[in-house]
Amino acid sequence: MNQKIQYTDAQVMILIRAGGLEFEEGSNYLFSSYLGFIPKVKSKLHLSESSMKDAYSDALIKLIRHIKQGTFRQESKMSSYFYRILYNTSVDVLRKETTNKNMATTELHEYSAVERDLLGILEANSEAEQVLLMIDKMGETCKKILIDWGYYGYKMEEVAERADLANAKSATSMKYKCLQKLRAMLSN
Amino acid sequence: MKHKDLDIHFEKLNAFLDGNESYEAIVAYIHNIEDLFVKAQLISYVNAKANIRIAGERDLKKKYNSLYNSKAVDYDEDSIKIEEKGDAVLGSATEKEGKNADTESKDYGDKIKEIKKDIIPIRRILSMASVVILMMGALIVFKNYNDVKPLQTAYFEDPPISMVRSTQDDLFNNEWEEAMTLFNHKEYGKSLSKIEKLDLNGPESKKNMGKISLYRAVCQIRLQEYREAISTLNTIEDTNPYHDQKLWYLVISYAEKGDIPNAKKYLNQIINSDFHYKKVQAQEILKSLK
Repeated sequence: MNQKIQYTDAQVMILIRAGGLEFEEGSNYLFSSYLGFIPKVKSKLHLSESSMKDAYSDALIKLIRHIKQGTFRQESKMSSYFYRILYNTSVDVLRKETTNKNMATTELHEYSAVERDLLGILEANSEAEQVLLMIDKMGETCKKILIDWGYYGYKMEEVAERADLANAKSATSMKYKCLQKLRAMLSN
Repeated sequence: MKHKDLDIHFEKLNAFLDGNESYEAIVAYIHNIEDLFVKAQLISYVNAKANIRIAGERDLKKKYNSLYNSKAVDYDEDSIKIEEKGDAVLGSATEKEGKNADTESKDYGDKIKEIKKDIIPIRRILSMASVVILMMGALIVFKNYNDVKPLQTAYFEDPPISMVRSTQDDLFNNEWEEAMTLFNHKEYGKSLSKIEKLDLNGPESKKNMGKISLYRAVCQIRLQEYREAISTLNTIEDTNPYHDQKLWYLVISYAEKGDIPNAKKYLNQIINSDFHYKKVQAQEILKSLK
């Protein structure tokens, strides 16, 4: 039987921010750590099973985003911080569920606060709240390399291994080309 | 525009996006860039990074959803009844349950039933434990400061086992993994000798020095080699991510050694640090020592 490892909040933050295999470990740990909140929120808001599942995943993703971008600074316990995110996300999901059952959640397609700040500083003439999504128009290999590098934070030799490329050098050159292509698509 | 120059700008943007650069610093940096072409490149970079983040988050969501489905998370009426009956217990019980969930073998409904079954014995145990704690507290009050072992032993727990990132140095990875397996099985002597056999001057060791020193020190504490543990912990630099753990295990080492002034010194450092993960425990211990 696998022994459940206990991490402190600080250690979870280190894992998430380290990227790669540590990120995997940290994100899986977070998933199993807060399952206990589900029945409480579910019964308070009378959410359906699928909405609860949606809310739980979205809330975890937001927590991870806050850890990665440095906006969670351990001013409160991670569990209390997460509970607030989960509750608010669940209220959003419930609102969407009651107003339009077919409407997909758009929350995850918005700019994050730091991205919006950065675009503001760069004086990007855009009032858009939503990110123009072009990455889906790229090939699967490019997309995978960019996600492994830019989101999961794998090292280039790991990116190469996961994408079946010869070595870290090929992965770096491929990543560079893919990123350039994506930037060009977004500039046009 | 040279690629190299752009890459430097991109690195700066990444530092801000990763929370490693302040708002003021990035404003000052960007205000020095006057070239509109460069600015356009930076905007496209931020948008590309936003695209990658969103795609990554969607990918992670898929993983979470499949994890969720594979756990067969089940909510039966019983779980709601427990909440209504024992709300005071529930706050901590559910959170603790979440943390301890052995999600590989049991579904959530089963776990809730287990909590329900355990609530009454837990209450009994807690009330018995509180009597014991009160008696121990009284003993500690009347004891000399030099004897803090019953107090701090309760706070001594091993850090979770930690792996190193996979690299091309398989030998180092394998040896570290073996050391951690032994550590996990509480075979501290064997784990320590494995750790000490690592090539401590190699590139992998240098990259993971904080982690290696921490586990080495914890083994030494477990083997009652307190002086060695202290000197191992003191090799961890203040900027190392394991610095917080270093302070905590220094407290443990000094307390076990009976050196209360030094234990207090590090307790105070923990208390004065804004976000230390043992701040509350440090306050409790220091209070009990006064």
